[in-house]
Parts: sequence; C-alpha cells; structure tokens
Amino acid sequence: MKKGFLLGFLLVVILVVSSIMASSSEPIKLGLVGPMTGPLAPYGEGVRDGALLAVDRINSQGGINGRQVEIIVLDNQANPQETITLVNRLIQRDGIVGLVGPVISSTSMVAGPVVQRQGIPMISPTATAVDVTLQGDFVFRVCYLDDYQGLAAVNYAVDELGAKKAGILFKVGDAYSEGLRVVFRDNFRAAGGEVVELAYNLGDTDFSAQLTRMKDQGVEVVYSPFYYEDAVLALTQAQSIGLDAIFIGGDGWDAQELLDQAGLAAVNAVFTTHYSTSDSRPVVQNFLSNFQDKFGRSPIVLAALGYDAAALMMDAIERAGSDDPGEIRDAIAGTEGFEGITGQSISLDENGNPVKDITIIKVVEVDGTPQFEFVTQVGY
Amino acid sequence: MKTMEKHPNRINHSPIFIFLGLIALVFINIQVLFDRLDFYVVGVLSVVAINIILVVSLNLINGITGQLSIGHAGFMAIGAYTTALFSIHLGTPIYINLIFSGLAAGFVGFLIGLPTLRLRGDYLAIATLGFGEIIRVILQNLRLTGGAAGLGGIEWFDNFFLTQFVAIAVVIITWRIGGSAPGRAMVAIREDETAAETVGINTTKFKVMAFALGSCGAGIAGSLFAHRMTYISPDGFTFMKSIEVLVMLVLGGLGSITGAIFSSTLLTLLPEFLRVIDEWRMIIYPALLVIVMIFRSQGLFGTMELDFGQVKNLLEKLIPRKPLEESNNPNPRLEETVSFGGVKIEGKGPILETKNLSISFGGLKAVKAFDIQISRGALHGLIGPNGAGKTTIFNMLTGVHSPNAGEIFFNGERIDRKSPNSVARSGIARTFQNIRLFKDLTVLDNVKVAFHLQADYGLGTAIAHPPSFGKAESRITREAKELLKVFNLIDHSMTIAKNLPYGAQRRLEIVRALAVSPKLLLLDEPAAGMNTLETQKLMELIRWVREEFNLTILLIEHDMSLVMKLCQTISVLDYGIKIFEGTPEQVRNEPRVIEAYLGEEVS
Repeated sequence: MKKGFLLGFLLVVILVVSSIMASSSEPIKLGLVGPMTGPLAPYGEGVRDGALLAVDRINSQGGINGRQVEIIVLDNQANPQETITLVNRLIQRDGIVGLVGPVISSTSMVAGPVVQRQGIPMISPTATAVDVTLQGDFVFRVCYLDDYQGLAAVNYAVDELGAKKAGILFKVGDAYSEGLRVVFRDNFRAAGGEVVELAYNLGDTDFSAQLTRMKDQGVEVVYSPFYYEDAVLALTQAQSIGLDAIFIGGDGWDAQELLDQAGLAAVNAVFTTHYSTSDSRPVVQNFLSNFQDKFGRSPIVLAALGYDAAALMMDAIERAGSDDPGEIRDAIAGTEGFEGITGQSISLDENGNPVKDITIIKVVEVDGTPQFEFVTQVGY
Repeated sequence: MKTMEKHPNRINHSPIFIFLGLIALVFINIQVLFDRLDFYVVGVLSVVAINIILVVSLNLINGITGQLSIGHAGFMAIGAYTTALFSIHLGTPIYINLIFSGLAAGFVGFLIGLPTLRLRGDYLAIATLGFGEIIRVILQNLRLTGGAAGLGGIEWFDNFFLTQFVAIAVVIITWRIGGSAPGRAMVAIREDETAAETVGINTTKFKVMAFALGSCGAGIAGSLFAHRMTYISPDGFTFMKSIEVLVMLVLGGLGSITGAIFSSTLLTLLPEFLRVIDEWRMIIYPALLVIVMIFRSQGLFGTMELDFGQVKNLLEKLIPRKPLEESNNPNPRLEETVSFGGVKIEGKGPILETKNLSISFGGLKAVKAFDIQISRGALHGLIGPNGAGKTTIFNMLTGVHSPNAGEIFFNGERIDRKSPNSVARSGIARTFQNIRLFKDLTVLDNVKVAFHLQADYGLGTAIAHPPSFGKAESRITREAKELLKVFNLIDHSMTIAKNLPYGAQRRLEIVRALAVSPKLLLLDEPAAGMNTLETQKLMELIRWVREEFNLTILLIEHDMSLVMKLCQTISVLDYGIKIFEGTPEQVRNEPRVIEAYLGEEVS
C-alpha cells in the first residue's frame, strides 16, 4: 500500500518533470520566406544559408536560454500573393514567433501588414525599399536603405573623386535601379554637380550608345545602379570605347562573378556594399570560414544579411527572455550596438531601420588579376 | 427551374459533382463562420475565389466566344491600380472600388477590343499580349502609379464572405449570359464566325461585348487582389500571370464554367497540399498539367457544363415530395398540327436585283457584270460549271464579300455595302455548300442561335432574369422546337450537330436559315451528296418550304433533274459571266448552255 503510493508519487513527479522539460526544450520556431526557385533563387538561397548558419551557431552553443531554435524555410517564388499565404501559414500552422525575410522588397511590402496584424515581428534581411518598414512597428530590417546607399555613392564621388559631372546609367522599370538613380541624381545636383541620365531596357545587352554619349559629354564618374551581370557588360563596353570615367556601383555589384567575368575592365570601379570580406573582425572571418565549411562555397553578400537578420532576431529573443512575439518585438526595437557581419555596431532607429556603416569597395589590380579592396566605411 | 433549356453548351452532366461542390461550399462557410479555420486556410480560400473570378471571366472571352486573349493580367492590373488609387487618395471603401475597378477595366477592354477583335487566332493573341504588356509598362512609368516601386498603403480588406460573394455573382452572371441570346451569339462566333454573321449576329459587337465583360471581371478580381495585398507593383501583372490564368482555363476546359471553377480551385489548392514535398512540387505540378493535356486535350471538362436540372432531379430522388405539376405541357401547340401562313406576295418589283455586279480576287475576275432580277415568290436556279462564280455571287449577296463594282438591291434597298449580319437582318438567309453548322452545339441550340434576331432582350435582361426573360426564352425554345418538329429533327434536338447523319445536317442548315425569318433564302447545293431518293424528298421539302414560309428561293445546284423540276427560272453562269437565263425548257435547249455546262447527254 505504502509502496504503491510511493511508486505512484514517483510516477507523477517523473511525468511533471518530463513535461516541464519537454516544454522548455521545445524549439523556438522562426520562419524564413524567400525565393528558393525561379530567377531570384540565388538571392533567396544566399539569405537562407546565412540564416541557417546563424541558427546552427546558436544551437551549437546550447540554444537560447536552453531551447533550440528551428527555422522553417518556405519558397515564395518572389510572388507577393504566395508570400501572404506562406506568412499566414508560418504564423498559424507552425507557430513561429518571428519572421526572417522576405528577401525581395515587393514581397516584404505585402508581408509587413500581415505580420503587423498578427503581432509577429519581422526582420527583412534585404528589402531596401523605403516604405517597407513604414508599415508598422513589427517590421524591421538589417540592410541599409537605397537612400543611404545612393547618398554614400554621391559623397564618395564628390569628396573622394572630386567629380563635377556624373553619368547615370539605369534600367527602366526596375525599382532598385530607378530608386538609386533618383537618389544619386538629386543629391549629386544638390552638391553642385551636373548629371547626364541615360536609360536602358530590361534585356538590353549593348550599352555602347549610352556610354559613347557619356564619353562625349565628358562625365567623370558613371553611377551604375544595377546588378553585376549588367555591370560586366557596361565595364567591358566602356573599356572598348575608351570611356575612362570611374564606375560607381551599388550592392548589386558585390559578387565574385564581377571580377571573373569583367576581368581587368573592372579595375578602378568602386561600389557601395554591406560588408567587406577583408574585414578582420572575428565575427566576419568566422562567418566566412564556417560558411565555406558548411556549404562548400563562399557566401554571396546577401548571405551576410541573412545571417545578421537571423542573428539579430535570436539576440532579441534572448534579451527578451521570452518567446512572446510582443516582447521580442520590443527587444528588437531596442537593439543598440549589435555586432553583425554587416556592421560593427548596429542600432535600429524609430522606423526599424538599421543605423550602421556602409562599406565601399574598390577593384584593384594585383599581379595582373582584379581583386576587391576594402576602401572605407562611411557612417551616416 | 427552366435552366434545362438555357445552356448552349450542356452536353453531359454529372450532378454528383455540383452536389458535392455545393456541400463543400456550405461546409466551408460554416467553418469560416464559426472561426474554425485559421488565416492561412481562409486566405487560401480567398485566393481560390479571386482565381475563379479571373478564370471564369477569361472563359467568357477565350472559352465561350473563342477569342484567344493572353493579356488578362493587364486588365487585372487596371482594376488593381484603380482600387489602389481610389483607396489611397479618396479613401473609398471596397464596395465602391470594386465597381469602379470593374468599370475601368471593362472600359479599357472595350477600347482595346474594338480595333483588336478584327484580328483572329494567333494575331489576336499577339495583339492582346502586346496590350497586356503595354498596360504594365505604362503603370511602370507613370508617376501616378508609383512607377516600378508600385503603390502601397491600400486599405486592407480580406473578407472571405465578400470575396466569395463576388465570385459567386460573377459565376452566376457568366452562367446566365451563357444561357441567353447574347451568350448563344458568342458561342456561335466561337463555332463559326461567318455562319454566325449570316444568321444576323453582329459578331464585332458580341466579340467586343465579351471582351469588355471579361475585362470587367479581371478588373473586379484585381480590386479584390489589391485590397488583400495592400501593396501592388507592376511585377505582379506580367505575361506570366496571364499565362497562369490561361493554364487554369485550358486545364478545366475552354468554354466550361464548371471546368474553370474546378481547375482554378484545384490548381490553387494543389501547391498548398504539395508543399510538404518541397521542391518536388515544382516538378509534379507541371507534370500533372502535361498528363492532363495528353490524355484530355480538351481540358478536364471540355465544354461540358453541369446541369442544374439533373441536380434537381437528384434532389427530388433524395427528398421525396409531392409530384410536380410538370405533366402540364407548357406548350400545347407542340401537339397540334403546325400551320404557317399561306403564300402571299407583298411589295412591288423584284425582291432582288443586281446591276453590273463584279468582283475580282487578285488578278482573277471571279464575277463580271452580273445582272439578275428575281421576282417575289420565285424559285430561281443558278447553275454553271465549277468555278463559274456561283458561290461568290452568294457571298456577295450575303455581304460576306464586298463587290468591286455594281449594286445589289433587296426589296428596293441597296445592300451591297452592308455587313453580313445586317443583310441577314434585312431578310436574306443562306445555307453553305460545305455545311457550316455550329458543329459542337446541339441541334436545338443551332436553331436557337438563329432566333437571335427575335430575342428582343439585351444583356441586362439576360443577367437580371426578369420574368420577361423567361417568356422570351421559352418562346424561342418553343418556336425552335416547332421548326425542328416540322423538319423531322425533333428527336435529334439534343444531338450534337456534327453527329447528325449527312442529310439531316443539310436539313438542319435549312432550318437554321429559316429561323432567321428570311424573305429570300439562298440554298448553296442543297442536294450535294444526296442519293436519288433523298434528292426527291429534298425537292418536295423545298417546294413546301417556299409555300409555307412565303419565301423567294435562289438555289445553286448541280443536280439537273432537281433544278429543272423545281425552278421556274434558271440563270447560267460561266467564267463569272451570265451566259443565259430562261425557263428550264429554254435552258435545256440553249446551245451555249449545252456547250458550257450541260454537255450532250442532257440535251
């Protein structure tokens, strides 16, 4: 009788303890939405791999307050309608407490109101459109905005290069390209410079007409807000027509392929980007080597932003000491001096945008091959 | 319900489908009503409803009217942007935005439809593709629409019940159009545009109407889409979006509303179910499409529609109740001997007169200075060797070809510059040498299409279904059936026209021509391919038709015995020139005719 009671008591204790342990060891769930298939898949996969690396690192260190982190990755094919469905699914079905993503601005624009209504914090790693974080106080990002990138390019052109006349080559109908174009044009003019704007269309591969005109007009710099594929074309064509103005690109240029494909034509070009692989901080060098170890290749620049977004989210969960989405949001909003790969000390302003340095990279020739060289970091 | 009579396309029916569909709908609504489903599921259901609107409205253009449009996303964009601008700048609620978005897209559809719908097939497809892209590029470059960055800050409104209500309304409206005279006109255009014109259908008008209505539907879908997304950009309305909608339509079956609903539901839900297998879904989804297209190239439903009559029957079987009073024959006249008016000669002068009628194709002068006068009530024959220009003359008389020179007077009114449909309106009907029935429609629907001119109601009536609509429709059905009965085709009324025996197809073409209520009937080789007995019967039929319907008949025929016995006057054509005209006896003995056409045997 007594023995039976004791056994029963033990059993209850075991049950209670195990259930407590079970609940505390249940993973904290995060969601990630981005294009994993389709033409934008490289960006989505880069962000995903960066985020997975950040999660692995936390988990290998014992998780957050003893709980492992699970990140559920879903493919939105860069489609806004699909994004709403997926974000709803992650929140309603999977019970995520935070969203990393979406990757593309247009999908982040539609995801914002969805997380806002359901009170789940979201950190977009890469959405640069200004309006993204204006959609509510649950929406954040870790990348700088197009405004700042364009302004940094203008400052570099005026202060470092002493340029008085700038050409802008931009892609018509492309939000990224047109957004940077406007920022650069307005700020360069405001700084007393003269601007020659020339456009090209989606699918164009020959820019020699535009570049020749720029040469005739005597521009000193060519602002080139587009991705590296077009940059390769522009650089090689500029070389062949003898345009010796300095090209200034944006973060779309930050890819090893630029060097591989443009070769020495890229030398002297500069671009603004998120971080430098030659940054000696341990966090950067660990990221680079761990990424190489885990995925067998070097990370694209967006992977660093994916890492930072996930790392900042988990840092906030730890600071909040809770998996309550509202408290996590408050912790994110209160971020100050967070050390990320894309910034030594990242803080978030009242709109949920990061305050951090912009990195400027220059292409230099070393032993007959082009290489990226870290030039400077500019704060704002 | 009288829906039995209303669907031009109803061929087969599976009541179980619609029964299950309705049960599913009721089930879903109860679940949503009691908050049993989460945002995710309800959101997916909203997407289903929006896709249904898109596909069903595209079906009106591509399926029912048979005009290949691949620019639907452009019209969706117009609706979405109208809503965005209204919502952002005026703060108007969704109910108002829905209406204006539909109107805006419909209006642009009308403007674009007018010039482009003169094109056919591939050309039309390319033109619509071009316009879809133009709309997108304009949106991408206008400051008002936010350019490439798009428009954000649209009021969020994602109410499943409203979206569902709009989708159901769009389906019902499309269904009702499909079952009305305008809808039959659209289907006729799909089946055979020339034949449609010759029964008095203004094909341009109905093509533009279908295009504008379909665009209107896309605009409404765009409005719901914009309110659901709260942010839109031109990237959401690319060519691929148009293709996505088209794929849903083709999978379900071009022309089938049921298929459109089924496939848009299936193709929206499928990726969600396949999500568990991750990247594999990207293979399975297109593989399914390929399999369906290989094994059912006409789409899952072809042009089939569900039949509410069958559903009702099923329900009656399931729920026993008092027998309906359907045994009361609503149409006692069917049982009576049908009698039409006697022979009457109205008006003065020849019913048809041509002066100096000429046409050439390239260098070939097909018809040269053709003069003819046909007196009222006459049975006039037109004979001549192959290639003499007989059918070309018919084509000029009916407005299919415009003569290069000369004049045609019908009832004293000049008609040589009129379109085929207005020629038909003024009272000339015809048959074709190579039968041009609306092949995939039932026999009854072939005739009902031709009663187009007598359907004295418009689109509004077709959609609103006031009592006058039912009266007009049952009158048309009754009269169509009477005609079929007279011509011994009533037993075949539900047969698909192309499945009729050859002789019956010829007869049906005559019935269809008579349904236009012509004063002059042009028969192009009615006895072609018939044996002696059939020809004999045909001859009696033609005589009888002329008397019963008080007609003048002009016929082309190679069967000399028929022409000689039937016609009072015969014109002989050779190399586009009328070489002789006279009574059968005169024709038989005329050396020029013998030389050119009859040969020695007949003489």
